[in-house]
Amino acid sequence: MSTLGSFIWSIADQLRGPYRPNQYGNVILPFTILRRLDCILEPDRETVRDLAAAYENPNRLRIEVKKATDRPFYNTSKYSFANLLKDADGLEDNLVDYIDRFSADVDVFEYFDFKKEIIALEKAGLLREIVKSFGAVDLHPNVVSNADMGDAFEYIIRKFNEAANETSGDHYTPRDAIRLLVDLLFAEKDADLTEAGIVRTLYDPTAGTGGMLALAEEHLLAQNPDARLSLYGQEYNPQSYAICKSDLLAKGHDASNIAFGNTLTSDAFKGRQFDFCMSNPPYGVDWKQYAKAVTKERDEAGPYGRFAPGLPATSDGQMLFLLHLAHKMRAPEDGGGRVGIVMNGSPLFNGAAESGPSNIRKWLLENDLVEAIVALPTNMFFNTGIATYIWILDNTKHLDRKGLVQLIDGTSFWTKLRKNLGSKGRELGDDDRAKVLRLYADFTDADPELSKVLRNDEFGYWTVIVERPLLDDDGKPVVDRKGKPKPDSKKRDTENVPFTYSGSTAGAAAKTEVIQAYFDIEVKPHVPDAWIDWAKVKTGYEIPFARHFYNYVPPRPLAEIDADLEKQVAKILDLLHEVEQ
Amino acid sequence: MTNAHTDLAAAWTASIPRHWCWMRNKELLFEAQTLSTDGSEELLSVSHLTGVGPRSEKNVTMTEAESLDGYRVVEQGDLVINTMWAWMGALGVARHAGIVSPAYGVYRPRPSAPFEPRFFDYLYRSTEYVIEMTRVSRGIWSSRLRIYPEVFLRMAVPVPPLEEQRAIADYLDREIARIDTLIEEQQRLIEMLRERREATIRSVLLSGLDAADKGPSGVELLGAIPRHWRMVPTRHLCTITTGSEDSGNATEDGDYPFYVRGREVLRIDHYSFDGEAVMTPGDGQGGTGKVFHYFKGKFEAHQRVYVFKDFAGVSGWYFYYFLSTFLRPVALAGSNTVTMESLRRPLLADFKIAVPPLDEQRRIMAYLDDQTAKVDTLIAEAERFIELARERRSALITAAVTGQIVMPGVA
Repeated sequence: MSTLGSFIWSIADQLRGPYRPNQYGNVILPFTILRRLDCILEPDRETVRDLAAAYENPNRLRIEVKKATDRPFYNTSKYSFANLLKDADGLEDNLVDYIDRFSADVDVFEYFDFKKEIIALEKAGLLREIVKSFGAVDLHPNVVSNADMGDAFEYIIRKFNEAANETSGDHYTPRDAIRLLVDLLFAEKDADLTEAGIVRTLYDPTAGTGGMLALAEEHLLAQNPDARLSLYGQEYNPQSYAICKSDLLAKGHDASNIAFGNTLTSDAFKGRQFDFCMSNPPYGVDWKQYAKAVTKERDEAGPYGRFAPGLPATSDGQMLFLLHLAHKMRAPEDGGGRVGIVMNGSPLFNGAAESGPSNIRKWLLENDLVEAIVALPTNMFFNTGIATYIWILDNTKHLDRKGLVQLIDGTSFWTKLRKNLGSKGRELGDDDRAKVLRLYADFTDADPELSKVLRNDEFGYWTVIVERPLLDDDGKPVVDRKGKPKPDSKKRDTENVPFTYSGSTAGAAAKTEVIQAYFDIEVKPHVPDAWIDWAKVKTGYEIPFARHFYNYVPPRPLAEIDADLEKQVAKILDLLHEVEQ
Repeated sequence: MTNAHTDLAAAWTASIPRHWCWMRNKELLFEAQTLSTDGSEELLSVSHLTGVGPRSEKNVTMTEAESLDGYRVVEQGDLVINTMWAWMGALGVARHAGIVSPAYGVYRPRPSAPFEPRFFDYLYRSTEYVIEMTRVSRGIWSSRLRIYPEVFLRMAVPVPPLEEQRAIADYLDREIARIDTLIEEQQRLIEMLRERREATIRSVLLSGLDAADKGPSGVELLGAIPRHWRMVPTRHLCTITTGSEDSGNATEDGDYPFYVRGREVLRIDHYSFDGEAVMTPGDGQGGTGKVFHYFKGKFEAHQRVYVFKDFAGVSGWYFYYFLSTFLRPVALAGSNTVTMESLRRPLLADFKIAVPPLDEQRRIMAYLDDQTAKVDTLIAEAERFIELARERRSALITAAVTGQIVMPGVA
């Protein structure tokens, strides 16, 4: 818990009345970041003003400022917290001037819609007091380290999220879920990460307020304090974007790799790939308004485009993010990349053979990209009690894991929360997380009741159309011009034939033999006149997660139950006598 | 046997007699698609407890659809599956013709299929087959799983010869009826024990344990009480107050019990009361005059829960016995409605308790504690018996439909 954070948050007490608690963040967050930047800029203010007078071209100015101050950003206003309060009547205008004169990369105030907030504060007669309060807190890096500032800012974000959760349907990923995702994401690569001075890129295409990036960074730095990390993110909600970027600025990061916009329609990092990618995309949210752009990209980008393997139904866009991330992994020849993504159950099984979702699964499995899928406990998220799954993708799997997918049932590893946070009534404690990681690490040796390792081809099946002859009034088959019997569409039946039928391990390659064997054993004996329409055979993939973790528990023997019943009757009679005495 | 293996088939295979065969449901059944034209047929519903039967016979709380046009026609002997509740076992073979909601799956036996509806009603509703159906169901929420017709029709099922199906069904009809009777009798026993418990308490609270000269209590419903007892309004026996908390302040593992309006006692982090007390809610869904608590120690109470404390001349536990036994009948007798919306403080303050001398109170409490403990144990044991009988019912059905019980007269 950050004392600085709670101190800053307490400034919000002055807002009570005109502001509701869920609006406090709109004031506190931008003011905190403004004051932090103000303190950072204070020593060089004169230098920068002189440079600004000398160089009008912003690009040139940026270079000169960087040379003189070693910072990419600057502010050219003659106002700062030091003198804002001196001009009593001009406070509102001067503050606006101050935030207007930041260099272009400090765009967060615009996304916080901060000018509107300044006007509202002035109207409510609160602006002066708030500026005074923030001016009294020294946030200079010599006083407040990057780490402490990071903690304080995180505390404020959490307070803001807690207040906002009550009213908004927004989708925040709880930290315990992120921690597990991050641990799994780095599980295979932790050894590499201890290398001194290693440079790694982290990417979140649905960055939100930056929670995943922050925790992933924390994890990596704990492993290797010398690691140099670059954080990349994209976010389409203006306020979340501003918070995410401010958080990085507060921690002294280069925030220029946090981009505003919609990843699905305008990927800000086109052509870039990353070492570690992670995402908690929205589930069951439709993408109708982007459908045109996405389909256009699919049609124009060719077979290697990110959406080439298939498109999900427009009612649910989560698999688009899955595809997007699969294309964002660093290429195997450059060292490979890894993905961790949280989704609900539907990407495991939705869609029939050769539908978009099935084709996406087919592409992922046939390219051996799915390393593990972990079922999380239900009631883990703030706004939904739905069952969720972490998918781990890897394009350079460890030799032992090649061709295999590990399914882990983590649904029983949770600790009850003392008090529910929205729908969240459970959390993954440190022990719970350790258990899941142990199952992951034990791989083929893990407890089979909780972990299964399956070959990629075990998820495949063929959908086969079985036809039967159309009979005329005399009961004779009707034939077409080539003399072949015509099918009776009313008797048409479909069969799903698993790749693994009768023990086959050859996967898709054994199509003809396996389907024929299935037909001969399962269908022909019951309908001798049936035939397969080979032209209509379709290939599908599904991951029936729950089915693999089902255990048949036979009923107790009748004799055993009867013995218990006899004993029970005797006991009841004894007790009855006692009562009746 | 067929090779269309499900895990259930794998588990059952060992026990299925050699002369039975495995078939897939699609070989026995087809999906019946006939729709009602005017909805005039008998409306059926499907329950996991009783199978398929006329809706009018069942206590259905859901509202009926406005029009029954487009409902599915069910013939006698059809299998009806409630697609959304199959995982709860809401399915069965129809004993009457009728119609069901279009959300249900209706499967009709193929004309030449070896299908004795009563046998398959037992089989499809057996615990193991229902679990298997759940396993192949799909859904994002575990409570909203659906079994799709093509999936159900592909499932494997063990099929005995028709004659044996009938023998097994006859056997189960007889045996299950016996078990169900046994369960009903045990439930009646439990009811009688509750009645006895109540009667013992009432009688002792109004007559004591010793033969004593009795006189009118002044409360018509209570009749006579020993002459040396006193009838005292609660306001002279204790302080009556209420809590001041809201249910929302409960925490899962708080340090103190938190008495709210329902029967369940919650937990909370802080306390306002410390000592011996009796609690009853002033309103709420728990049923006014039905929920009573006794506690000694630190606790918290809801703002609509009355707290009786600082007892003088009466033991708190004795007070609890009397209040919980007589408040409702006496207060209801004096009101002109059959339900109590809320309890008002004056009614509670004026409510009269029959108070024996303290040492007699002590003897009465000891006697009642002993008697009620015995009856409560007996009730718990009877409930355990019912549980075992239900287990036997389920195991017997599984054993019979998998051929583990030899049917007399069947080769």
